[in-house]
Amino acid sequence: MVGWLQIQLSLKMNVMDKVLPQQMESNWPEWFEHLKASWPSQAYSSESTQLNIQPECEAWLAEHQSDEIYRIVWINGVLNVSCSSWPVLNELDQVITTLPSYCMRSNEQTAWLKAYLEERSGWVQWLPNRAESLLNISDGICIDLLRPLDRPLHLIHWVDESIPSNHMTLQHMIRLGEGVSLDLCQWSVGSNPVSAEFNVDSHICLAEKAHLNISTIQQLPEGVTLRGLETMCLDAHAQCQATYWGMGASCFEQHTDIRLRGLHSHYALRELIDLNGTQCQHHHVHVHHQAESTDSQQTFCVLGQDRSKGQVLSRVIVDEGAFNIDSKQSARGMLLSPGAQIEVSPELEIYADAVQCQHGASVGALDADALRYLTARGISLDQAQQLLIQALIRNVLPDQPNSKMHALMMKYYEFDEV
Amino acid sequence: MLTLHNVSVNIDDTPILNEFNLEVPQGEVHAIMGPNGSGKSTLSRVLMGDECYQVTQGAIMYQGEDLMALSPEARAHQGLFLGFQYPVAIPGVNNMTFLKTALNAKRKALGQSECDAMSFMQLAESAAQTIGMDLAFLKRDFNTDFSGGEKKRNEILQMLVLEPKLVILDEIDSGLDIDALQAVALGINALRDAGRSFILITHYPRLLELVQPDRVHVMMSGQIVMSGDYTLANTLEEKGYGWLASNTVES
Ligand SMILES: Nc1ncnc2c1ncn2[C@@H]1O[C@H](COP(=O)(O)OP(=O)(O)O)[C@@H](O)[C@H]1O
Ligand SMILES: [Mg+2]
Repeated sequence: MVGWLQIQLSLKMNVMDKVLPQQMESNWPEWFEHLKASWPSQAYSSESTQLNIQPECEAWLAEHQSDEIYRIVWINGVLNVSCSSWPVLNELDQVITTLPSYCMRSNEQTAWLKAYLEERSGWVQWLPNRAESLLNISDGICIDLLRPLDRPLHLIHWVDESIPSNHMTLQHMIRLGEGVSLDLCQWSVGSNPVSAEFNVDSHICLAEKAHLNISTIQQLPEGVTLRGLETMCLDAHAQCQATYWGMGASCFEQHTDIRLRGLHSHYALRELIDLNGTQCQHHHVHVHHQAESTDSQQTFCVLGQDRSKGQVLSRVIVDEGAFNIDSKQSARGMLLSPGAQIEVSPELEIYADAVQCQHGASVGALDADALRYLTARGISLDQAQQLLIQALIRNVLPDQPNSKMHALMMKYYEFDEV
Repeated sequence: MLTLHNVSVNIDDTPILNEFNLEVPQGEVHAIMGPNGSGKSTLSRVLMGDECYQVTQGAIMYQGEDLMALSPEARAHQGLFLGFQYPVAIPGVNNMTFLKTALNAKRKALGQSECDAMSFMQLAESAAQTIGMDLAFLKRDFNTDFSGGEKKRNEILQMLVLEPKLVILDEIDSGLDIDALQAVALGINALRDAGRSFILITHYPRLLELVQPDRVHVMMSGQIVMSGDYTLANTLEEKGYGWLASNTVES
């Protein structure tokens, strides 16, 4: 697809144009001590989150102390970066790109990046020989943000064809302190077919009045199997606006578990799954209304071409005693080829009174009457189909029209606004 | 402009049009009336190239060419326009985006330069003004939550912007209030000229009083059973289609 190239280019541009060398803390045991020392004294108490990530983080850090990993931790507004074998690019505190070092071996696709980094090295270390022997790799990012960040944070996860058959686990922990807002963009992208298996776990905690805008673009190459687990806890008045755009991986299975545990917390998800070939994606989303006056809104759009399979099972659970709940789920599946399969199923599990829950779902082919109408007006069948697909996608475009993701989607689906 | 010669049409092997004949010369307005189910919409759909209908025999010539050889979009490019009896609504597709896409598809096919956003807006706004259509409708999703009459007005708006050569309007006047009916007639009369032909499918003489067609045809069971001038519409209004059953002579 043409659009695929546009994404890659824009990624490269992003990194090439903007990455600047920066001083970084490379003495990592010292940094680790610093991290450990600073955690208990933080203003934001881990007790206010159900996940209680502090012990997990510590255990995780201890466990991985000897591994080749990188970490990015925000402590009281200061970015600390540690990197052993993993190159970490830090673009004015904005873009953090991670590339497994073994991806760098004699690979044309990424050679430019290596050269670019080495030019500015001193802070990037390469351990290519060590990486070759690794078949199980753990990696992850831990972000603990206690002050607002006025710029978006990009996490770019690049998968490359030089990856040997392997199994990789990424674990991300993100915690936003009280009143902190963050724009987080996650990119999981790659180029040529590879055979690889990934697990990506994200645990996110939002303290009171925290605000997270999270957009995820996932376009991994053929041959990649991806399993994702995402948990999120929202305290009182916390908000999360999530946008997900999935176009890739041969097989992708994602479980999302959202817990609205504080009064007036809010979660919104707009998700577009665009599949072709023999790709399959399954997304199970549970949104748990545990506190009063919480609301959630989920909009899914699944496009299936060729012999692809897409499944979205979303469920809203309202706990006993959680009053004044407002929840909406809507899911549309569009079969663009006779061989494609789509299942969308929004469900409700309600144990409380005074709730307002809407759900709707439909799966079908493009409206034949609309296509006939458009062609009768001189619009070619291709263009007519595109108009109808755009009409669907419009429902899941990101809320913020100025966002990068919005612009990319408009370009990829060739929106032409009058 | 348009000639149908012995055209028979089936839907799922059921004959709907039977050796149908019609000639619409350039610059003329012809009305087709007839009871429900007589095949009027079928005729309009066949002319537009709807694949649900099988043409089993006969010939359709449009501007001296075989119409059947053209795809629906090519027919539109060549100046055919069908105002649908039941226009679809397309939520999520902006009215203007749709109309601009249609206009530029036609211009491109005819080797003309594309219409830019500015001049297109002017074109659309002046068309809307001709038929007294609120400009807010231009910004809304195509026909979405439009009333029946608003949808019909929107058909006329498209007709004015696309400037077709042969216009077929299928019950454009059904369900319209008096103002909307006059707006529609205004649109038709605005476009009427020596180079353009119209086929108006209708049940009511009122539109025909406003437009004054050159010929009125009556269709029954897939055939034209009577033709006359526009006074025929009034006769039918008085006497009903039953009167025709015993009176199927060309007048
Ligand atoms: N898609 C279709 N499938 C089956 N029968 C149809 C279809 N469209 C029209 N018909 C039948 O063809 C006949 C003519 O219909 P139509 O052309 O809509 O009549 P009119 O417009 O004159 O009221 C009717 O008997 C109608 O039921
Ligand atoms: Mg009809």
